[in-house]
Amino acid sequence: MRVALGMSGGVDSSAAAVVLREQGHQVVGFTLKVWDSSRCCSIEDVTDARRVAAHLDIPFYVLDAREMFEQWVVEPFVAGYAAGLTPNPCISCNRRLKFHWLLERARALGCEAVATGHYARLVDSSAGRRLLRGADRSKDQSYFLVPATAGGLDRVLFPLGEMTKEAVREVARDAALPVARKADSQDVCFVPDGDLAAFLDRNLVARGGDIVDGEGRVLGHHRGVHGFTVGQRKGLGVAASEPLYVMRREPETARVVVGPRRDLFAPGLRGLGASWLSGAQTPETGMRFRCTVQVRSTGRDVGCQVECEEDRVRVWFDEPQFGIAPGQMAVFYNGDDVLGGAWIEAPLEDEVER
Amino acid sequence: MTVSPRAYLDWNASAPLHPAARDALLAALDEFGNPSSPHQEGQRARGLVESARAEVAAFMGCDPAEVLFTSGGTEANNLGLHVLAAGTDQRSFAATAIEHSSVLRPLAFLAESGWQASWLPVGDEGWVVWPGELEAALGFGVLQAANQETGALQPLAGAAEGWATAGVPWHCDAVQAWGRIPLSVADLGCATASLSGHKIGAVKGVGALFVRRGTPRAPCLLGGEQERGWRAGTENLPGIAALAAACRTALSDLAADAVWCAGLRDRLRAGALAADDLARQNGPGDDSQSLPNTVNLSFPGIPADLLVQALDLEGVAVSAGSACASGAIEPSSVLRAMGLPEWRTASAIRISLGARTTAAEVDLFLAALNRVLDRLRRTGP
Repeated sequence: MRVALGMSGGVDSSAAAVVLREQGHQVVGFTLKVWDSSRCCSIEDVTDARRVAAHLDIPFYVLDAREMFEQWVVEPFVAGYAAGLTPNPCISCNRRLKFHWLLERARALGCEAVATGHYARLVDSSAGRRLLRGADRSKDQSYFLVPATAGGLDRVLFPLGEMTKEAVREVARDAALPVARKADSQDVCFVPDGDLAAFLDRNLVARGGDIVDGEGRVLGHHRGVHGFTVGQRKGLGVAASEPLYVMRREPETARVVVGPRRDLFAPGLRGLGASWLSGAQTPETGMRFRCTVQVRSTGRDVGCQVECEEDRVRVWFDEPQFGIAPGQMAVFYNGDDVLGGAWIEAPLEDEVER
Repeated sequence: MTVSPRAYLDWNASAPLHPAARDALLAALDEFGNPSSPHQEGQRARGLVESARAEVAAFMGCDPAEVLFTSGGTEANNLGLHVLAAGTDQRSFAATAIEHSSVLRPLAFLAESGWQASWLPVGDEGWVVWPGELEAALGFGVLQAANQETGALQPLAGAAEGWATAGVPWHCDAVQAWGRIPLSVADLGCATASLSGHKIGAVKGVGALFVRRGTPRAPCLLGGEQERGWRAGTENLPGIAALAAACRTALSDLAADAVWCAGLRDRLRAGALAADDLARQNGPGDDSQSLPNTVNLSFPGIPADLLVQALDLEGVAVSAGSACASGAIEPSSVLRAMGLPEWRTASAIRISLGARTTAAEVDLFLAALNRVLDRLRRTGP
């Protein structure tokens, strides 16, 4: 079938083009121009994607997605930070741009599916199509695909899901792709040099305030709450008898609350805006079930119990977890199966909330 | 890509190599001598350049001594404007917003350097509205011969009379007009005029600038006495040979080519307008005021870049707006300057034909257009 492939100019999406073509698909490559100067859509990367497309003799187009990206990714990201959250722009980008806007554009061009170079697997079962972690656990990107894929998995393809990174590089080398030796990209694509603090400084009106401990005692001062992330230890500029970490940011009072490491462990979390994948059973209100949860893009999942109430969830970890950051996504798994996810609203204060 | 056969309907972007130009190019590839060298190898190369210059001059309607070879239309436009700007004490110019970017960017550079810009108004059919009276003391004027997107023929007679009689030198970007309408710099009365090789069936990387005799020399590229000191750099011999051959053919085939293009244009336009009740043509309503090979059509509700991509995947090459550095398509500034509403500018595509376009290609376009429109009615754009 005709498949639209999101191409970044990197090794993964380039190798995905090779794999799709070997599977007999007619591949059409797309690069989203999302930002005027960024790493993921710099002219060099667009040129790389173009070279790969030409090398493989597949049609390739650059789409101007700047307006959509500003509206659906950058503005919510900046606003989220201003509101004390730790938003994940890649999740918004996948949901709003790659698997929605690009999918619609692709369908209008006669493509039946959108494919990306994400490391995640799709498996057909009697219950329907399910999303699984990538076979290469160290590269797995399923975390970023919730809630993008909650709308349905019928029109998406992840051709690299069964492969290891090494195998992907081998595909790129065997196909003599011009990007076979290119390094992986890091960081948020629209933040130059990965300097998030500087980016937020430029895009937010900073309001200085106090750094306080759990009891409200003022320990120091800061130039804006957006300069801090939950779990951060370095750069607080506060002297104390034991190492202190950022527990939370309070934009309304411009306070940054810090505490010792033990205070950053939470027994659970409250989540909202839960979405469930079609292949998984959608939990009903009042339903409790066991699964595992991953609370940040990097890191392991832990056993937990989940209670649902409409699109809100309450999650109790089997063991307390460090640095639960509001605004991040909590993604639920059963083994490698992705069940769904919810936005983290807050850590649970103590076990009593049970 | 597996789709075949294809229809190439983007001749205003670049024309396929003309067989005569190919022959001339291949023959010149083995002339390795440097035209500036005194020996016989150099003399043969020099002879090739000068006989090419004579053919290009015959085509443009001027003396060989008034033709400079350049690297293409963009350099010809840049050099032409540079020459006119250097030759005046009045730091002012008159131009229009529908010029090609290789004209607009140098003009913007002048404006940023303190030059007074006077922008002539553009009507909704794509013509520059020629002012009844000229502002006094103008440094130079600029007017294209035909518009690259709508094909609108500009009021060259007005410019010729107005500017020339007022003694204002002017530059004519004639890149899109050569080979499509009868044109001669002798009639235009302009001081400089540009020509691009690959638009008339020669290769990319070669072009020419007409510079009227007596114009003070003002080179951009320094470093040699080539082109009588107007443009340093060893001549692009194969390109120049191909350009001369393309000019020779264009001159002899002009009338027949225009009739051929107009016939296909009519067939294509009728079919395209019938495919979508909402479709509208942009540019002159009177075909005699337009290039015979260019049609600009809006299909309201369908983003132009989407339509271009969809047609491309169906085997048809057309264009829309202009491409930014990344290759993303930006809305047409020409159509906006004409004052057309957003629903027309955002959905406008340009279809441009050439002497070797076939009726089968036009039919392929119409079939593809109907398939695409049918699909978009089902999926939504």
